[in-house]
Order: sequence, then structure tokens, then C-alpha cells
Amino acid sequence: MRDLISNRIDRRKLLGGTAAAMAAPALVRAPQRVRAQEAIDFTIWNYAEDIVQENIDLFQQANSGVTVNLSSFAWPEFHTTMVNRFTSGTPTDVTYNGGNWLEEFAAAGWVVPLEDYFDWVAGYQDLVFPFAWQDMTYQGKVYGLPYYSDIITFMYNERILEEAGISAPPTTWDEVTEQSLILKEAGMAQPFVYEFSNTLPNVIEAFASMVFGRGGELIDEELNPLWTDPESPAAQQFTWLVNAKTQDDILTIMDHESTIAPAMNTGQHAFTVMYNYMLADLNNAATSALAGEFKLALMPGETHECYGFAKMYNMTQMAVDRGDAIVEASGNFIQYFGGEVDGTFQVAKRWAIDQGLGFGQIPLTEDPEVIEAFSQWIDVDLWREQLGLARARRQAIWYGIFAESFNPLLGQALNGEITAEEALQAAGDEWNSLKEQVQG
Amino acid sequence: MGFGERTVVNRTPGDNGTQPQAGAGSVGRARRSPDWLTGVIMVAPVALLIAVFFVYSTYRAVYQSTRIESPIFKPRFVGLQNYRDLLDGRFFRQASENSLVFVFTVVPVLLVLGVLVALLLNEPFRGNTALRIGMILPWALPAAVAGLVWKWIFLDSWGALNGILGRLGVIDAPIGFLSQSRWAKLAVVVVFVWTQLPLASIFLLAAVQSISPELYEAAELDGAGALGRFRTITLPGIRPMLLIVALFELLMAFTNFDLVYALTQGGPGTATTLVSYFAWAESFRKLNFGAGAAMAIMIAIAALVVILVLMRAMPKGALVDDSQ
Repeated sequence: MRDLISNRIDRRKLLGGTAAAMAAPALVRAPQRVRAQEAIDFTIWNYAEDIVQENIDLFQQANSGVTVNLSSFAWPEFHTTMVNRFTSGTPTDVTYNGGNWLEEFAAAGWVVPLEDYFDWVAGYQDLVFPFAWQDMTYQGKVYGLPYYSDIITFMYNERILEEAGISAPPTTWDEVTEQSLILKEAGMAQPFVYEFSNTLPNVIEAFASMVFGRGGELIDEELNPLWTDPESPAAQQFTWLVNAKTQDDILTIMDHESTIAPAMNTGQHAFTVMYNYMLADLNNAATSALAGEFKLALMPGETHECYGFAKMYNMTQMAVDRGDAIVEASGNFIQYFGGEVDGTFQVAKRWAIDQGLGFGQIPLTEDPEVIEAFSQWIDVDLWREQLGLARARRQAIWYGIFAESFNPLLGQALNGEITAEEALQAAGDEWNSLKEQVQG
Repeated sequence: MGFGERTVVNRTPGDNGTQPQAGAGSVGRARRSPDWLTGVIMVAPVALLIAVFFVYSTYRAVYQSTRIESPIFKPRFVGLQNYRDLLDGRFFRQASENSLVFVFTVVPVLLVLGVLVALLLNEPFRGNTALRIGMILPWALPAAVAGLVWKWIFLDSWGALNGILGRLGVIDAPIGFLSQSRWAKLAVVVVFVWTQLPLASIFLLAAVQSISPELYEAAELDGAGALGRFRTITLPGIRPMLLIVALFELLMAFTNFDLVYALTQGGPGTATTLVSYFAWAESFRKLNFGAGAAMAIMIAIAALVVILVLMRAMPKGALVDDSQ
């Protein structure tokens, strides 16, 4: 636990969190049994739907008065799908959401603060990592409980580095370049594989994580873009990516984690930045020939911070409009899935053990079964250290829409169609235009 | 007498259905009123539906294109601002250039390959029937599925094509079929041609088969070679169908969206972003429905202009089969 001591999550907070978890029954109201038969509509993005359905079945067994209708949508299209559902009034009571879209959905009145409806919400604050809590909060009110909460991390193939005579992973982005050039000299075409496509929502999140590693931010407190300053960490990291692709030829692009994993598993690349749970996939002996070779390194940069986030369960205004019974059923559902039931965070724990998903619930960092499972694919102490350096991103209502312009601009620069400076300036113009339209 | 029956009664041998026959007018006039009414009643529902859908949707698109229409912004009238923004924007210019290059690449390729395949399938050989059935399969596949299938073939590090080329020793390092602009553009062209070639070939095969064999026999007796027979008999014979296929494929290429979405998502960068993909992204990813409507209107106008130009450029009577 000492590895978690940092300016963000200190020992006292973690001990307090663990103690709070033990006292959870007193702090957190147990889910109520719903009396009448109610049906709630639950929307998710397409990840492990079979496990989601199993969890729903377990919830329905424990709450015989509730039926849950599950709808799943492609991850790259989830944002626009949900916007269209909300604007068209398509029934949706509980939904997955991300911190990057929370402000937009909350400002539009599509999702509601949980704490306005359930007194048990406040009891979770000390049990959840601060970055995750911040990501679920808008204008001082918390809107969700974590579905999963993770960090975006730097991963490398230890064997490939050792065979090239590299004794330690890079600690700065300059070192990433240096080591990549060594590997390239040794015959590896592009040592760094970068997850990017014009439509991928997590491109800007991964970019933020790399910027955080340099100690930077994307926007200031007044929601002005920082990347338009060439000396800013954001501009430097943007330029690093562009140079790595167009000048040094050490970076290649793949459009999804599902295509990066086989490329890494066949030893064609040494470095990547992805959701941390992908390390579990890379080191899964059942699917990876190189399992065990992939390691976590602290995010390169001066501060080694990284982006931490929460994907959460939100209750919608539509659920509220349907009446108290649906609100109560939705609350029970959210607490069952994201909260504590019978003394354990059972759903989050299952995601962590079975899939390697991160979690926002602090007590799970001390759960022996979770630690045992994580130690199979990650250096747990180093993971805790990186977790302690994680922080949430400043958010804006227009972030989701801005990302739709940011990705193509980054793509154009990576493709050599425009310079990094032109792309950064255009991204700044786009940001300011959206800000002006929203704020007037 | 019903509406359809009258059409049959008025036909005479040699009548192409476009010119009224002498005497038919008096017969028709005698029963004009009830027939005319029946015709109107039968056509009215469809005509009304078309009018409603066309008129309303066109009105709605034009109206929307003059407004900021977005779930997160305050709706308001902005006049022609959406059009100006699009025309001034770098993405629109790039998408327009990409579309022009794409359209004027795939259409000629499809016509040439379509004719070659049609001529091949017109020859008697073992397996001809099976080949005809088999070659229609790519066309039967939804473009999105075709895009995904080919994506796995073209993937950089572990795609099938790079794997085969690597094993054959043709390449030392994977080629960025989807991550390098010129390769990605070529990939989209290849997959589009792959999906569209079957239909083009079948249409052209039908045209080839409609040419009387006697014309070829006569030409052979006159000493015409294979190339001469193709130039003087086949080509004029399939000319109307060639033009129809050209127009159809031009429109298909101009409105191609799902293939790009599945294969490249418009990338790398904006190398394969076509206008239809751009319109979709503007509407449904950036949630800028006003700009998306403006874009859709500009696409429709551009397509209309291209079609009109092509129709005007055609020789008079080009769409009439005068080969027989």
C-alpha cells in the first residue's frame, strides 16, 4: 500500500477507504427490493455483453420485481447513438457513460445527479479514487457509480528490449525515440504502434495521458486550449507523435486495440499506449504466444502522471419521468452493478478478476483475489504507483464533439497532409468556435 | 376495360410504344374519361407518396441547411453560413478532391473490366455457369461486410496480403496498405471495383448477348478480325448499356459511404474521406445537422450537374439500341 502514497491518493485516504468499506453497511443503504414488476432499459457499448447479461441475470434473481432490457452499441458510435436516443426520446433508464461525455449529457438534462435521488451515493465518495469521483462529477454533483475505472498506460515488450541491449524501458519521450531507433536499426520496422482512427473516442484520452506524463494539461481552468502554445506539453507531445510517424518512421497506426494485440503478440512492435486492461490481454497465455513479455512502465515524461477515468452507470431523466418505481429500480440496479452489495463490490470485482478491468473502488486494491489475479499480468507495485499518479482531465460540454475534429486533424498531421503546427492551430480554432457557440 | 388493357389494345406490330397510332386516338377518346380517371386513381397514391417524401424531405433539408441544428447548441437561423463554412473548410475541399479522383478512377476501370468480363462470360467454356453464379457473390455482400473482409486482408502488420507477400519474399517489411495515403486510396478503389464489377458485368453480358450472332457471322465472312468485330459490332451494340452502367456506377461511387466507413474510416488522415462520408461525419459524429444538410444538398446538386453534363455529352440517340 505504501506505493500508493502520493499527492493524490495518500496512505491515510486508502486506509480510510478500506475502513470505510468495512463499515459500508452503516454508510451505504442496502439495495431496496422493488415491489411491482418493473422493466428498465439499459444501454451499453459492446464489451463482453455475455458477462453483462450474466450479471443482469444475477441482479434479476436478487430483485425479482425488475426486468432489465439490455441494448448494446458499437463503441466508436456510442456517443452519437446515445445523443440520438436521447433527442428522439428512445426509452433509456440506465446507461454506460464516460467522463468525456458526462458534461454534455448532464448539461442537456439527459442524465441526472444520483445524489439528488439516493442518499446512499455520498457514502461512496471515500471508497472511490479521487480521479474517478471527479470524472463522475459535474458542477459539484455526482452522476454515477463506476462501471470500471482505469488508467491509460505505457506498455513495452521486455524481451525485445533486452535482446536489443536496452536494459530499462524509456522514462522520457526522447528516450522512446532513441530506443525505437535502436530497435529499428536492429530490424523492427516500426517499434511504436499507436491506436488511432478518425472515429475512435479514446484517441484524445490516450493523447491526454501522454500529455499528463509530461506534466501538462489540455485546457486551462477557463477552458482555453493550451496546445496552441508550441512550448506546452500538449503541443510537444502532438509534435512528437507526428515526427515519430513522418520523420523518424518509428510509429505505425492501427485502428483498434483488437488489431494491436495480435501485432504485439507476434513481436512486431515493442511499445504502445493503451487502456491498462490491454496488458492483461497481451499477457494472457491462452491467447498470446508472447504472454509474460509485456510490462508496464510509468508514463514517459517529467512527472509520469497519466490519465485516469471512470466509465460509469448513469440514470437518465427518462427514468425519472417514468416515476418513483423506475427510479428506485434504476438506483438498485446502479448500486448492484457499481456499488457494494453484501459487503463486496461484486460486479466490479468480477470485471477485475475475469477481464483485468481497472476499478474505481479503493477497497478492491486490497482484495486478495483481485491482487492474485492482477499479479498474473502486471507488476502490482508499479501499477499501484502509476495509479497513484493518475488524474482526471478537465472537461467541457463540447469535448465529445471536439474529439470528432481533433482526430481527423491529428490524422492529417500523422499522414503528412498538414504540419503539426497547422493541425494544432486548427484544433485550437475548432475548440474556440465550439466554446463560443456553447457559451455565446 | 382497365388501364393496362387499353395499352395492349393500342399497340400494333412495329409500335415501339412511344408514338400514338392512327385511329387509336378516336378509340381512346371515346373512353377517355373513365380510363383517365381510373389511371389517375391508380397512380395517385404512389405519386402522392413520392411527392410528399420528395417535396417534404427536400424542403426539410433546405430548411435545416440554413440553421444551426445540434442537440447541444441553441438552434437558430444562420442563412447560408453553413454553406460558406463548408466551402471554406479544409475537410470539404479535401473530400471533394478525393471524391472526384475516386469517381473518375473507378468508373472507367469498371467499364473496361466489365466489358472484358462480359466478353469472357459470353464464351462457351466448362464452368461458365458456375463462374457466372459465383462472381455475383461480391455484389451480394453488403459493402460494410466487404469493407471488413478486405480490411483484414489489407491490415499492415498481420493482414493476409502482407503475410503472403512476406512469405513469398516479395517484401521485407509490411506495406501500409491502410496507413499510407496512396495505398489506402488504392485499397478503396480495389474494394469498390470488387463489389461493383459483378453487377456491371452482368448488365453488359446481357447487352452482349442481345446482339444478333448473324452480325458476327456476316462480319467474319467479310474478313473482319476479332478486334474489328468488337469495334464495329459489339461496342455499338452495348453502347446504351455502357452509358447506363457508367451513370449508375458514377452515382454509386459518388455516394459511397459504407465501404469507406468499414475499411478506412476516411483515413489515414483524410486521404480516403469522400464527400458522402464527410456529410455523414458532419451530421452524425459532430452532430452538426445543419452543416450535414447543406453538404447533402451540395452533393445532390453536384451529382445532378455531373449527370446532366454526361447526358448532354452523349451522342444523340446514344441510349437507343440501334445495333439490330
